[in-house]
Amino acid sequence: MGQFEPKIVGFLCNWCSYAGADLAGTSRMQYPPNIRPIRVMCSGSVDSAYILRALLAGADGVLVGGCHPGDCHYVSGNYKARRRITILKEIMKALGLEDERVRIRWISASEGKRYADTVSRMTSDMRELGPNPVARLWWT
Amino acid sequence: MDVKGAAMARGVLMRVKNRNLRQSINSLLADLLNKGLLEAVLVPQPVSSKESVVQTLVTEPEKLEGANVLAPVLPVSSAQIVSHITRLGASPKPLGLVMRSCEIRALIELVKLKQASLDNLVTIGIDCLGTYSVRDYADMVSRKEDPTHSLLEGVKEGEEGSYLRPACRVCEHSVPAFGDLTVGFIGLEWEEKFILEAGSQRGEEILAALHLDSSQSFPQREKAISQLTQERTNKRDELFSRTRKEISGWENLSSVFATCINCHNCMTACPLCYCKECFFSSSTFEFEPSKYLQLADRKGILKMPTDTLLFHLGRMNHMAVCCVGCGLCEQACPSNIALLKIFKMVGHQVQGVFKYVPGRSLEEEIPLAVFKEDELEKVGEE
Amino acid sequence: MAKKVGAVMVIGGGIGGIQASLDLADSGFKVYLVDRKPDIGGAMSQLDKTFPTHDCRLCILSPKLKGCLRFGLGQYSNIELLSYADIEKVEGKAGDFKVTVKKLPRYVITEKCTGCGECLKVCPVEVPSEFEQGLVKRKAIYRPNPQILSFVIDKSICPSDCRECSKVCKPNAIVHEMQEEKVEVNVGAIILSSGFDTLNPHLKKEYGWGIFPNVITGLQFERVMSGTGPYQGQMLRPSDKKPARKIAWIQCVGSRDLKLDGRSYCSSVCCMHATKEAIIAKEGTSGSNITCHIYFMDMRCFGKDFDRYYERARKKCGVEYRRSRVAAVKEDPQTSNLRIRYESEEGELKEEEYDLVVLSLALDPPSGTQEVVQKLGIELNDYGFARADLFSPVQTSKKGIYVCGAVSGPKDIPETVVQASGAAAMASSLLSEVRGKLTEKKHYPPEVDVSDEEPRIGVFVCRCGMNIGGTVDVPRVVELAGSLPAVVYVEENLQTCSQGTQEKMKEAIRKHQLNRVVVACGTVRTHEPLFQETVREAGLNPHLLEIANIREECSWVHMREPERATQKAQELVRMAVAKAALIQPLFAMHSSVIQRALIIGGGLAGMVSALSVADQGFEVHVVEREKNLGGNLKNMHYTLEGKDISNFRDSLTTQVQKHPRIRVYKGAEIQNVGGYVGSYTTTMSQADDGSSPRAVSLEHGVIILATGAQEMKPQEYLYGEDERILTQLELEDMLTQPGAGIKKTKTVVMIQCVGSRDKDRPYCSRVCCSDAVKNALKIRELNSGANIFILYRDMTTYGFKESFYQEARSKGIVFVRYDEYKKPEVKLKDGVLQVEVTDPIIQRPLLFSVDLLVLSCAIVPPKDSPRLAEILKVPVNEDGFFLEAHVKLRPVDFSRRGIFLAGMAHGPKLIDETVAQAQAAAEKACTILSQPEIESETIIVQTNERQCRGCGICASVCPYEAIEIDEETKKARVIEILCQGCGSCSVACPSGALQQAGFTRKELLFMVDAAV
Repeated sequence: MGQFEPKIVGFLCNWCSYAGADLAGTSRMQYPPNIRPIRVMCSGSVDSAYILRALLAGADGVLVGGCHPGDCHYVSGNYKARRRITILKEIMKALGLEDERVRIRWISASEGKRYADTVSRMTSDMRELGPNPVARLWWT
Repeated sequence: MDVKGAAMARGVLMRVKNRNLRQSINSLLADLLNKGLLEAVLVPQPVSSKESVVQTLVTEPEKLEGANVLAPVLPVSSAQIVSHITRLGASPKPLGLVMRSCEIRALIELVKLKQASLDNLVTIGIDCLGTYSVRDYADMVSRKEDPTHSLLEGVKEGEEGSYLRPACRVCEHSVPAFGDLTVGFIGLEWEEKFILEAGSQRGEEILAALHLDSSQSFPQREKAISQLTQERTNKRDELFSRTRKEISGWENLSSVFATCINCHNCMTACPLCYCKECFFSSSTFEFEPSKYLQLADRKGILKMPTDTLLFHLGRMNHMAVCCVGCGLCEQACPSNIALLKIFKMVGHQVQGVFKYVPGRSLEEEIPLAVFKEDELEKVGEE
Repeated sequence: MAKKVGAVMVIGGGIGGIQASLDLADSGFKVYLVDRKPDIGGAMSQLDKTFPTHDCRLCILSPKLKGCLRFGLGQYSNIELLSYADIEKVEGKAGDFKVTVKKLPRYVITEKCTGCGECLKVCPVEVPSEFEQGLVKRKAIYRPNPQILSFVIDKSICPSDCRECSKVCKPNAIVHEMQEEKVEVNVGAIILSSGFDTLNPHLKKEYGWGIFPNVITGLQFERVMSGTGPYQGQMLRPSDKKPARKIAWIQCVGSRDLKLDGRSYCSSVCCMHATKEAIIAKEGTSGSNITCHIYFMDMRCFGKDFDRYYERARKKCGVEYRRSRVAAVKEDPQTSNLRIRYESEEGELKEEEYDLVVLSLALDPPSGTQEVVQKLGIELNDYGFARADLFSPVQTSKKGIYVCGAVSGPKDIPETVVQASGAAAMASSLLSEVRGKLTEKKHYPPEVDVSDEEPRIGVFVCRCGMNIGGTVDVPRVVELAGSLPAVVYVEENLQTCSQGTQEKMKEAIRKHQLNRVVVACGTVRTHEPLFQETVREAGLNPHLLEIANIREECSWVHMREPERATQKAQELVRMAVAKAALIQPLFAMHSSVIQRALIIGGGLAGMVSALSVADQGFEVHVVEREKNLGGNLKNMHYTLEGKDISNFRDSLTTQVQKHPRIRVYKGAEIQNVGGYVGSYTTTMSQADDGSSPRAVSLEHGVIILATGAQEMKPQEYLYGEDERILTQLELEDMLTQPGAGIKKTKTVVMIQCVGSRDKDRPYCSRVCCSDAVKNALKIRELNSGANIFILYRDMTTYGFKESFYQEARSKGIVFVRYDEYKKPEVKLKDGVLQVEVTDPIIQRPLLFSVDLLVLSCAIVPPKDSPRLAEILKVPVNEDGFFLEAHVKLRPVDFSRRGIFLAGMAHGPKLIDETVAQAQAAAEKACTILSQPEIESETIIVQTNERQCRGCGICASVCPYEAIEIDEETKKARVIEILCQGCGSCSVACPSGALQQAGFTRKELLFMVDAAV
């Protein structure tokens, strides 16, 4: 059996992170195929329910990609995202739910490398953390 | 409402007539109605069987005779009732509300969420030693016990009823921290005296109209309160550490919630779940038959009803920052899921990040409605 | 009447040209955007981040680029891009020019090229890459910039007998025989926006560029810092690719340089540019270990928030500034380290060693300017930049030809953007009667209503030649797609974007009655507009399309793992299909426009914008608080350049008062503003000529805020205690009085930065150095014997104003620097007015007995600003000036749509800068006024009233004031026209009463389900 391959769901903001992922592509930067990107207009429009649903469905990690602080195309969406993710992660911490499975990262349109690095890093971290235990449970 | 701050302000000592605290408070309320200082009061009244109480809106002073603001039972948070009354607009006339600390705190949150208006309301906080669950209260009455009396007596004897709801056993807010007026008896010979404190301009005006001079301080009471608060805080922390062990991790947590039947009673009873229709019961969660089969296919087995844990975690995301720890969710659960300790612990942690205390003040903004440029800088970095 | 053509040519595709093109297209003109380079984006596309906000240049530039690149599609069908093209000939006159454009052959058919890069592997020749500033090489066939997919061939180095690239090009995109092409274009006006070049660093041999590998230019350093640059953003030095631990910047290389011919001007942007580079170096991953020294003469931080930025660099980031002109740079041949010899301010000769030296090169007129201006028939100024009029700064010497950006003098991004809109305004005024004559709306077949139909999804999987098909097993993706619910049709294509396949796709949509389309291909950013067009032409709403990006996010990045890439591609398609089954048609909302502007403030900015809007054919209300128009101009008499202000002011006020479309309300104050873009209702109280105030109500579609700022009355230096102490404005007034006492004055001292750049007002007031030099020169003119001293911190005579500073010095005006911590002291001793200051060079106090003390006072915002800000729901910054939507790219807009900003209300500025900004605001206003209806975004938020509880969290998180809570119903209402569609409110709503169109929660949740 090969090594454990985690599955990561990514929410990428249209203006920065999605464009950063594109740049990683046009620059042919190679990174592990463990991420399933979903384009959203703004990191501030990522509902915690999406993240929870991904984890409950068995995703091993969830990445939210937004514009760098100060750079949000919609003025302040990333600040809102930052609060919401913080709340979610605190809840997870309180409940011992491995909050390191949820990450938010600022990746600009010119940071193809940062995107590739972020995905690589997260993949190896999740590999180390092991499979999401929810995947084994049917009573969720 | 202009609030002066903590309830441990100065107050006036009142005499209990006929060693009956309940009646003495009722006659104070009747006095407020008679003098036209209030046009109506919201108070709990025992039902005819005496096995529970219901909230009533009273305009005639004589209808206050049967009221029991001390009855240690909380079938519904009066914050929710106040929201019903004032959501569409302020009360046209002065309306008095007799509320426990958790109810006032919930009300403050609802006001911030535009679900209630404090205009023309006079909040009358009352000390609370805790409440019994609706079922325990009814059992006690049917055993011909007087729950009100036995709780007050028990406390005097240094023991609190072991039947108290779990929420109350770990409640750090026996005394309302917010109120135009506060009726206090903790730390006093409750069969002889109680105190009346003013917590706002409005409250002082009322005391002045009643010719009461609220300049006394009660060091003994303050001591008793801080002692009680300390005891319960300790119990709370013990509960938290126990809970952390019990429910930590996906496996434990999901088995706690596994018996959830998705009735959403917890949400209906929660004074802070103000949505008309819960997002988790909206059409977003209505699936085509093929979708169910698809979901079942993922693990080969699918628990029905689906998405119960998602509902609880999602609800937590929406309201944990505002959770006042009243525990009505747990009281409402037909599956006896121990919700309070989970929600209270999570709330405590999330609120801590934003140094937010629900119900502390009207000025503090709800963490979900605001955000700052320079905060949480570490989130988003390695 | 002479013939006029409703089209404009914009020369130069940098940020200025792009902005001008977008503004003109938005306000109803056809635009031809010409650039000499094979790509557009200009200098900005090479920058890493921009000062002072550190915005990623791409994040902010690409939405605009996208607008231009989407030519032929939807909204911007009115911009025709002619890149890689030269101006050949210009004939005709204002209103009707004929321009011949020579399109150079790219030798690659853009539409066919898939950017696979196979050609790069076989191309045998290499030259230094222009885009990477020579830090790396490129092939003869190359991508002009990394954001662009398709290639071009540089024929000057392409060996004629090679042709290897043609052999490996799968889509047959290479045509070596391609010929240049001449196009004749008929336009009514021309805007020159060709930007700048930097000084040829070989001209400053003493710094060793080109000889010592570790001496690089500022632009090269931008590429070093850039994550997409040759070193992937690591601070490495070219010689050995080792981390640079110690870096020096040398300022004014070729600027303010009297030794080099025609280079006495200041390049305006380099102080901030170097500061930015140093801050980013310090803030980088190894930043705290990097030493940054900047060698400079004066720090000129005159723009909005620039001084704060400089302070941050010095005090927070630890960048060290050394006031010294560097004589020479030498290299240690052993280490390739560099030694800088310099004289400290105290006069000591010192030497210091660095790993890397960055030269802040002067900004030059762009190469080829000479030829272009000759063809256009316009004049150059003494420095070789296009000549512009001081009172009309985007007007060239020829009618109908306008100029914007650095081609008329060094400028930073916001000023370029402002001038671009200003130039667009001038062109629009000239051509207002032919607005909309040449613009076209594309016609589409009527949309079939499929909203109630069961989804019938068609999936089109593209091989993209080898780009996808080389890694991903496409047939397996096709097979999976076929097995998904609601999918009724699947097709595999070699090149989905090709014209032929598009036709086939339309046919398939019709034949199989597809009502939702999924295309698995390249990124949404390039492919969505294209395929939206296709589905639209097939009679479907363009939003019934979902893209699965299996190229940029799959085949290109997982080339070594074809099996897992195939699985991922399958899942990406599964996700897209899951969403597609739920998507609904989306439509923009329309809202009518009251085609009238309200301008608040009747000073210079207000008057210029009023005239510009009125000249473009729209009615204008001007509201002025005071009894007369003119604002600060009433107290000003002449400019630094010697131009008469009173005539200019009088002619402006007369024009405004006589204009048939302008109505002026004097003595009026705004009380309330209701409504939103397109239809505002404003009430004001007016007390004209001392009558008692009456309420006036106005209806209008846009607002221009031009409330100005004023000279501060100082609280220090004994001002007000002695009549010999004046402010600059008071001095100017005195100097123009007949028989002015100045002739007898012996000693005049001016103190700069009075109330500026201090704790209370940490900003530079921008105008005072020029004012001081101007008035000092005037005093010298009137009294050649006077001793004139100017006590300053940094002389900020930026741009061409530098020459007047030099003139002042040559005429014996003495400039004495003082340190911010040792401010001059003013004493009154027995009727003698004394000024004492410590000269940091000689380190000794100087004492002056003065006849006239002039204070150069801060420019401060009016007291009324906070009240107005609240009424208009627009923000002010910490200094009290109004805060624009985006410092760089939306300098005259507010986030709140329909309100614009001009003049000193935005921050201190000079007359020409105010005029340009006022014209820019007018242009922005006219992009709205020129349409009877405005459209909302299509991706906006919709409310479900039934679920809403009116808690208002949505309104509190909306950055655009686009949500109101109805007082009556207690329900949230989205003002569609203001909503920008970020969706932040929709997830703030716990009830799910708000849904972001195109990204509903159900759609997203189902995508998540499909992903896991």
